[in-house]
Amino acid sequence: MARTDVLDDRLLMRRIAAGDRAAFHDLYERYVDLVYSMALKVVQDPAAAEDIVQDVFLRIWQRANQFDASRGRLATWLLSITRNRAIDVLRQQNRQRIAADAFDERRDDHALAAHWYAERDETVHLSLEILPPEQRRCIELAFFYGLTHQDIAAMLGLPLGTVKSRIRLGMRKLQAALREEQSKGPT
Amino acid sequence: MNISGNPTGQQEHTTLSCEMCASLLGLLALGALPEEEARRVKFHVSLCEQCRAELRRYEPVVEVLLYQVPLVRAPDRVRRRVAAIPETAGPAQRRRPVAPRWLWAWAVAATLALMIVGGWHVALLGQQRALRAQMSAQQDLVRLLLTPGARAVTLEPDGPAREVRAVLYYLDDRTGVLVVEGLSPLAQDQAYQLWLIRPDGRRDNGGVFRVEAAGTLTLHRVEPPSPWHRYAGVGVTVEPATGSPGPTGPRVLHGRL
Repeated sequence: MARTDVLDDRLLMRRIAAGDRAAFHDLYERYVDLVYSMALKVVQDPAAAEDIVQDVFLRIWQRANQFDASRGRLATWLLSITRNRAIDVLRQQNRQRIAADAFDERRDDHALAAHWYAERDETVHLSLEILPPEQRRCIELAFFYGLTHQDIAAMLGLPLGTVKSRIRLGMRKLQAALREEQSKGPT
Repeated sequence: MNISGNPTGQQEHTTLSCEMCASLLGLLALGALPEEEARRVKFHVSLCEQCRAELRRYEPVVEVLLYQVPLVRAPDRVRRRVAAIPETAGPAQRRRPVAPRWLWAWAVAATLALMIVGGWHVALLGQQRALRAQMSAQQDLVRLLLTPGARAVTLEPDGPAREVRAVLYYLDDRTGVLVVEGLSPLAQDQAYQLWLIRPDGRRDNGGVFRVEAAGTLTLHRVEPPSPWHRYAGVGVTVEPATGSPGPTGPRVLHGRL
């Protein structure tokens, strides 16, 4: 199932690059929720998230040949370009702090994309829940809102060294946990 | 391995050790470093294989983070807009500006300001384009550094440019970034031009770039006309600001692929 999906994605992208509208339809049905979810998480504004989704899929339609399957999964590529585009929007509107303030640490009812992909993909997925809350928050503020360690320190009222340390330790902990999961084999 | 990591040239050069760099790689992978600090670390990484390998080991962690988003169903309005893209955007592969509503409004306002004020705003837009070019090159560089199989070639300086350091990073898919530190700024009517040299000696244009201030770290994004494996070497010469069809000025850097 998982390998079929990966091959399907490659085929879809090739067909889209050739102008196949049906392939584009299949692709956005598969990934529009994922892209919207990332855009909304970053910008915390449905209208802005909608524009970002439009931008991302327009880019796919116009430049599908830029996707290189040898570099990784299409879903990962989509999430990455969506996040980058969304952070650009926040920066241009000087809304990084505002969006980060609106970020709600409570885990809502929506399942994480990680859980959904863990079911259909044989690769390993981890949750940030393995991190202490203070490390997780710093990492999420940096990763999803494009804040530097200086921004985070100012926002949270913490010494710069504390923020750098929390991010460094959190990233290493995630690295170690991933290595451990990978050594166990696919779930 | 100690590598000078201060690209601005406006302060005394400080040494960025591998230990210091390693402590910042997680933040770099996360995008949590301020621009100047990120440039220092990236320059160290561009010259240090050990730190480069360590940076690559953060790639799976970054991938994990991407999936830490609550999955939300996109509203029907969003689905309809996306579904209409092939109808409204025209054929695939056709390049059009991607701009949301607010950016169009900004663009109209900026154009009116240009018409009123004139040359000063033209210069400002030029600086913005240069900044966007550098940001694009930085993104490409990080992507290259994180990609297994990316190659690095150290270029040697020619003549008096002995304090220059340069590394060309590239992948076979025609992505490349030239990282240079120490080149001197040129006159307004000049620029540095990169040449991609075929085995038979023919030169392809690798693009022109400028150095804004003495000693600064410069990133030049390279899009070769042919795949990298078709070239045997590279060189950088001083040319007119708009470039030349072939090398005419003195060579300042060279390297073998």
